[in-house]
Amino acid sequence: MADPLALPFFSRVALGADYGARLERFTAVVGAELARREGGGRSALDGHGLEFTGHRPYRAGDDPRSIDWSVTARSDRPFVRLSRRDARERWRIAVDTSASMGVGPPGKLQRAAEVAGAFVLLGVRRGAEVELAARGRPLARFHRRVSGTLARLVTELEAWTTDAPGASGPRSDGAAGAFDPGGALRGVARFVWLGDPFASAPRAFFEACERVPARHVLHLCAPHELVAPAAGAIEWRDAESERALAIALDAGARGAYARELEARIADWSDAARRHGARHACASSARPFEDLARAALGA
Amino acid sequence: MESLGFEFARPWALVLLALPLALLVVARLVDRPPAWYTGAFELWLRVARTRPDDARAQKRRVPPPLWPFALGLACAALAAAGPRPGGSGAGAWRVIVDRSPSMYLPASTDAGAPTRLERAAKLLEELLAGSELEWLDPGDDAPVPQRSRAMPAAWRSPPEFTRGELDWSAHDAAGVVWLTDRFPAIAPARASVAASGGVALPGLVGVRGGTGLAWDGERIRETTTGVEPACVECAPPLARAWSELVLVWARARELATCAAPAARAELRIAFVADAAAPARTLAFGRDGWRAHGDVRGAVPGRDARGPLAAWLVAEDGTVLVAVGPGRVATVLPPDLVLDEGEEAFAVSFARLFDACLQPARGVVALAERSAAGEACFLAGAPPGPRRSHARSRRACRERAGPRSARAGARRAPVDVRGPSRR
Repeated sequence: MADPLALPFFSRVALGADYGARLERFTAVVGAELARREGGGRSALDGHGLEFTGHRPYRAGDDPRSIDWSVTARSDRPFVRLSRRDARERWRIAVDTSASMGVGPPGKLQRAAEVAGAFVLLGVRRGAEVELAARGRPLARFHRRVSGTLARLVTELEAWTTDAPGASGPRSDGAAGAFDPGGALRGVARFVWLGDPFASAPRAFFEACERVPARHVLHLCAPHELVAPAAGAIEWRDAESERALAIALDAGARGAYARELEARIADWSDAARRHGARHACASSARPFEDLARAALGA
Repeated sequence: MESLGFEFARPWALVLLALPLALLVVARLVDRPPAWYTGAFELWLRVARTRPDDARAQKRRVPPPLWPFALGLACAALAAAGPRPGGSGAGAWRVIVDRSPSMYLPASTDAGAPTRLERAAKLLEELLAGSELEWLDPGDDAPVPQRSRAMPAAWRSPPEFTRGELDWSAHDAAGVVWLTDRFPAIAPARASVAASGGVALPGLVGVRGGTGLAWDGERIRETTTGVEPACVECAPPLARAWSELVLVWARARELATCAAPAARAELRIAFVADAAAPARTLAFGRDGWRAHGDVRGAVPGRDARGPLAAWLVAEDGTVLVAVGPGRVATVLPPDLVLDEGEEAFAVSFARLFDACLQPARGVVALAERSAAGEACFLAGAPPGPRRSHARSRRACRERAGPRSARAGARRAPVDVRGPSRR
């Protein structure tokens, strides 16, 4: 029986019965969209795949690096190389499981797990070898050659838990914080990080994964983290350290918080832009399909 | 119960003060704002640093209307406790009563004369008429001040056991009156003294066997009139080494020995071992002797006549011998084995018996029978610590005896009057 005095905290992942179906549908739709876009311009999955599939004439907006100069020299117009960009690529999807990911509802870890599942299945369907990393668990590997991907995936995701509240202690600004990529990133072509914007600093994050060609950062915030509620007063409890702060949530306080949050997200966005990474920050109340699309930039 | 110059007639009612306190605590808990976990705590800390204090102080406030209600409850609890000026505050005198044997001697040779105690009490009651009096017998097992205009009636009879001289210096304070028969050897610095005085009272001052030693006012003579020999009651089974010692000691003191239960005994030696308790072999000793034996139970902390003080304690803390005025209780086993110090054993217990032995019936020490001089009253500092200590002290008109003579050397004798009032 739940303790009625306990604060809401969502440390576990429980995927719904329809999750598998939603995942299949999402993968099919987004996969098709990506395939169409890869044929006609820049892809959301700017990969460095190796599988060559042919040439087509250069169009405005194509990456100049993809121009095949040999073919162009033999013809009177520029041609670009077409490749199956994700074939045999290694993807790494890593998730923050620190205590702050238990904040909700809906719990941020819950939504991060659902999005992680979407990336895994998308990667596998596109021929990539996908590694799923959560602190304290061995890397889970998924690829097309192994059957039963979806069942394994659900089992893995439902095994994730956050740290207990207060287990981590206070965070210090500018530190890597909860960022844990799940081991060395050598050879990883695409790295997806699912966390919140409070757990680590942009500089430390991008320095840690700067050698990865493609990076996606999805930051999740609980609804009350994204927009301060219009309550009379509230006692904020730090999920990481259990410190408490009671504050009157008047318009001034809410405005000040919105400015602080905006500045924090802008820091991340600017840093991502400088490092050629994709960054999105969204509410954990949104469905995982929206969140995954935001992370993909699709 | 006294506090800040007040005392409370019903101190238990102060427990009710917990009610408003509990009310405030509960109200504060109920008013607690909702608590939510957040990952953005650092951001909120930054926001809080820019906010005025009153915006941050939203944490657990008591609703303002509750304050006067809680205050009212607290006042009601205080009123229920019945506060009044304390004993050391205004008006209440604490009377320290001397209940030594001399206080129960007649104050004069007239027929039907009151005792010295009654006379001193009457003197005090007259002098402090209108003031509140609080009577205290420090020689009692558990001294409790008794507030009344007149001395407690039960104190008009002598206590069961003879009282020694009081340590007056322990009661030298403002608002305290020493009630005695003769002026104490050391004059008080702050306390008052009410002394009954009294004439010398010839009579028995000692008993040896069947012969009494009577003081006739000048000399001590032997007499057999009205003399009852002192008696030692031995309740079996005492340790053999012990019972032999008791007999030798009693013979040396010319005391009779009587079997229990004796109607009257100046010393009762009782074996109080618990036969149902398991026997434990214990080693014990004091004053240079050591012994061991199988002990059953332990001597309790008190008997029917009052508390007992431990005199012999085994190494494991078991009380083997405990004593009180006129009585010795023991669980020393009959088969006690003396390991060393046979002579020390005899001396040790003989001293104990001497200390516990009560005077024979009718016997009052010579010092107690001597004249106590005239009645006198020395006014010390009145009750109330906040009053000036400047006093007009009035002392005894006349004193007798060596103790009062020493005290009198410090004070000029003046008429007996009441305590100075300011």
